[in-house]
Amino acid sequence: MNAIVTGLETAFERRGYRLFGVASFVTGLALYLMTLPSSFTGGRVGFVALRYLDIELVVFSIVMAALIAVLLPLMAFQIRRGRRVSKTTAAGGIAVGMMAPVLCCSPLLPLALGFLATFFPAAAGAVGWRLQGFIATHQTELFTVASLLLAAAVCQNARSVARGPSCAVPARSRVFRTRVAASAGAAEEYVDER
Amino acid sequence: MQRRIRGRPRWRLSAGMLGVLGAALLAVTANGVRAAPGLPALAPAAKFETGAGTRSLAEFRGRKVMLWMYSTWCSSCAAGLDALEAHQRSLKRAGVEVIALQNFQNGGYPGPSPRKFVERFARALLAAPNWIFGTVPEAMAKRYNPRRYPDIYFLIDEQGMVRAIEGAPGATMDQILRFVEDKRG
Repeated sequence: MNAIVTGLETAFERRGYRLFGVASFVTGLALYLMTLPSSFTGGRVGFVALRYLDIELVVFSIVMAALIAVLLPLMAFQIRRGRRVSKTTAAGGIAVGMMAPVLCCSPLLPLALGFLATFFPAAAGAVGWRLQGFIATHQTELFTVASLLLAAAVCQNARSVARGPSCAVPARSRVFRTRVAASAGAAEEYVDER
Repeated sequence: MQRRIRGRPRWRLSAGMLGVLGAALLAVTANGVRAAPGLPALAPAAKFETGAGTRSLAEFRGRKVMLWMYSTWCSSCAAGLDALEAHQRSLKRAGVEVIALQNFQNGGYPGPSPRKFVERFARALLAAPNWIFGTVPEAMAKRYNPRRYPDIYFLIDEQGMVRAIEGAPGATMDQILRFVEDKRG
C-alpha cells in the first residue's frame, strides 16, 4: 500500500502529470458517459446515449474515468523514463468497460458470429448466440470487473513507479545464474582476502 | 537504454492498433449496420403466432405496419418499448399497426415472458388496439432475421413495401415518426 502511495506521489509531483490526469478524467468521463448507455441504443455511441443514463451508469462512468485519469499519467511517467509499463490489465479494463455495452443488443456480435459461423458453424451456433444475452444481463458485473482491472493496473503501475529504475540482472539460464553467483563469490573472497 | 529504444515502437504500434480498432468500431456503431441498400423492397410473406392464433402479414396490406422483433433480455428492446409507448398517440392517429413479436427462442437467451416484459415497461400497450403481440416462428426468423439480431424492426407501407430496417426504436424514433407522418407511405 505504501508503495502505491509513493508511486502516485512520485508521478503526480509534477504539474504536467496532474494536468494530464485532469484532461484524461474529462475525456474519459465524456467517453464513458456516451458509451456505457449504448446497450439501450443498439450500440450507438454518442449524444443519443446520454438520455439513457441512470445513477448506476453515471457512478461507473465516474469511477472508471477517475481510474483512467490516475492510470494514464502513471503510464506516461514510466514510458518517458524508458521503463516497462504494465498495459495488459489496463487494456483489459478499458476493453471490457467499453466493449460490453456496445456489443449488447447491437448488430456487431451477430455480424461477427455470422462471419465466424462460416468457419466454425457448431461453435458459433451453440455458444455464440448466448454471448449477447449474457452480456446484456450481466452488465453490472462486467462494469465491476472492468473497474477492478483498471484499479489493478493503477496498483501495478504505481508500484512500478515507486520501485524506480531496476538494475536487476535477468536470470536467463542456470549456467548464466551460476556464472553470476560464481562472480559474486569470487568478489566476496577477494574482499575477504583484502 | 536498449530496452527503451526497442520498447517504444511496440508501445506505439499497440496504441495505434487500439486507436484504429476503436475508430472502426465507433464508425460502424455510429452509422448503424442494418442500413439496407436494396430498399424499398416487397415484404416477404410470413406467418406468426399470436394469443388468438396464427396470423399472416398479408392481412395488414393497406395499412402501415411496424414489424418489430425483440428479445425480452435486451436493454434496447426495453428502452424501445418505453419510447413507443410515449409515442403511442401518434402511432394510433396515423393508423400504424405495431406487430411486436418475441424473437424465435427469445434470441438465443432466456428472459422474462413477453407479457411480463411488456407489463414491466409499457403496461398500457397490452390494451392498445393497434398493437399485436406474438412470437416469431422459425420459418419467419429464417426469412426476416437470419442473423438473429436481438432487436430489429421493419417499417412496411400500405403497399407492403419495406421502407426501412433498423433496431433500437428508442434511439431511432425520429425515423419511425417520419415514416408515420409520411402521407405517401
